[in-house]
Amino acid sequence: MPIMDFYIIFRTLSICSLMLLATSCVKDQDFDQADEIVLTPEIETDLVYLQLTQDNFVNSSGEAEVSFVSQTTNLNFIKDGFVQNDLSRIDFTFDTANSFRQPFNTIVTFLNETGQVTYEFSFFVPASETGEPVSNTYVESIMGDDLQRFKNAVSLQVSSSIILSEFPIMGTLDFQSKARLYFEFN
Amino acid sequence: MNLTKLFCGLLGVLAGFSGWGQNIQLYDADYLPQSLMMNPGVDVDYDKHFGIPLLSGIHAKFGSTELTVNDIFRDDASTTINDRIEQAIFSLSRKDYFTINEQLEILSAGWRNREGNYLSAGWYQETDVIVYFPKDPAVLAYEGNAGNLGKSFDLGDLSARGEVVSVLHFGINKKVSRDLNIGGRVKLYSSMFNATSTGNEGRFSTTRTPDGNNFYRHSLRGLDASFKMSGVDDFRNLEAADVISSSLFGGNYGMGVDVGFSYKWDRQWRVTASLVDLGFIYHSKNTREISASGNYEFDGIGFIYPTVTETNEEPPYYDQLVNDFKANVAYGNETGVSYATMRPTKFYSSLEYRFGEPLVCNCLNPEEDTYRFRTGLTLFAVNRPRFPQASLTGYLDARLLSFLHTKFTYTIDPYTAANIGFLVSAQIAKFNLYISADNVLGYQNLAKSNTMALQLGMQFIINSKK
Repeated sequence: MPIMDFYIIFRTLSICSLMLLATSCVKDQDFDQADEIVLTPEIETDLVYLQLTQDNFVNSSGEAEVSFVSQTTNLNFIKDGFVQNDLSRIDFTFDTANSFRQPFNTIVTFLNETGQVTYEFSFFVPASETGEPVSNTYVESIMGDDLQRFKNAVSLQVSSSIILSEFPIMGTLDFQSKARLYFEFN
Repeated sequence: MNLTKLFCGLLGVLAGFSGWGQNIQLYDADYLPQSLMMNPGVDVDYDKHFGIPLLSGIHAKFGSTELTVNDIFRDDASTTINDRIEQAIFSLSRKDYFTINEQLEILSAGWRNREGNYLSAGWYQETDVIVYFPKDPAVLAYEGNAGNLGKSFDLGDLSARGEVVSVLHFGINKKVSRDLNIGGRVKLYSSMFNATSTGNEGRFSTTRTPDGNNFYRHSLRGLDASFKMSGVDDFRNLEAADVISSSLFGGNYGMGVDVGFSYKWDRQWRVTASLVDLGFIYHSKNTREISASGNYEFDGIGFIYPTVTETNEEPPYYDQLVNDFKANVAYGNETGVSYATMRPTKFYSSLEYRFGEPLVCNCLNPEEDTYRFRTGLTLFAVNRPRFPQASLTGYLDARLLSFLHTKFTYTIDPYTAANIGFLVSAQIAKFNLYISADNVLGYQNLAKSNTMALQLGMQFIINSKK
């Protein structure tokens, strides 16, 4: 290519480049969409687990002495800002495996700082007919106004009542629980 | 803090800026003093220069290895912005990164001494930030662990470094022989601000445990993470006077050197190479380190019900859980720590061929002939926390008129396969004005651009031979 052609090309490109620079812009963008951004992570976490045996209910003579047991734990994370502001729903799942020939009534209670109930539910744990563990699953979903009541809680109480029957009290109740927390950050 | 804004800010960060101290167009542009800052051994033809304070070199560069602003914010009714964010998170990898580089020459001057060596000195301020896309933490934050049971999240994906430094420098350029120029520059760094979180390790997973105590086992393994910062302890109390005083007397100092050479193979072929910012900064003033390390496994709170024969007090389950976590995962938040950081060292090298009609015909010494056109290749690499970034630039440089230099470049880099840049330098008597830009095609719509760089400046360049 003749040198003069190089020269002309360069000069043209230089002018074009400077013009391009001078006319640079941001086009076809809608930054107001930022207001519509919603992040919706779902967190799965273990909650409490326990095991009940006949030792929790009968004395050394095999006589039923206690029919109701209960334990409580703080759940201080409920007071955290992101739970208070951005939690939109929570699902509790309870799995039980009961080899007692008695059914149980389990009450799950959420309490506020003064010990008052903010949210409560219960579920039935069926008895085993053969002494082999019987599995059962219960799911409690909390949302809307119920969720607001739940958010006032700071502790969780799990109580179980054994419903006496003609069979001797013997066996184990394995109890597992988890929570799925649905967040909406916007 | 609004987590969404934080998250989107992080994503915006990924939209990415990348760059280094000067535009690649200025390398081997030996008619500009700024080329001395990229190779102190460049062949210097002029005898003096001094920059107009604060205006002799203004440089900014951004780029993106994957994402553009348009990918998130385009005006497109067929998809929602949340769809686009999700698509972006899953299209990016931990290798994608964002860096930003800004450089401002405050003072710049140079002169040739009696021995014929060219001395140069100055003061500039530089901002350099790199943030790698924290892929696994981003997925965990965006989706949660519910849809990722069994997945092991690598917390080591968190890697970032940012600094604002003020640099005093003095360099010497020596013509060793007719064919060889060498140069060196010493630098005194004063760190105005530094934040470093690199080399983090750790994994988090949630796995099903059919035979375990509870549904899952949440595991935090091999956690060893830290965030160090110096210079500014609290941005809320930062005042302009603090910024100015810390630019020279911040108390966090370092040293470094630049070295380079330029060798004339023959009348038309040249080879050059340089190492820039081979140095470190030692941080000991206004420092803070936040760290966490350890292992922890969690499967819920195990209730222990009293037996009929052994009644016991209800344990403080939650407090025990918190204490157990603290015993296994050490958390530190210390001030007054000391640490050192390496500067991002850059390597440049070029092979150049000069051709066209001789502009200046030196009959006594034909080796000194100058040609209208130069073409060549420039290899660039910069040391980064995870792996070096590299680029290869082909260029064509032309002296269009006696006062006008123009250079066009085509760069292959991690951001785009069509990075066309240019440099225009006008010398009107002793006054010099230059402007260079990278990826000029991206200027049509900056939102769609993966990378962009701009540098401009004005100064006086004096050549007693002309």
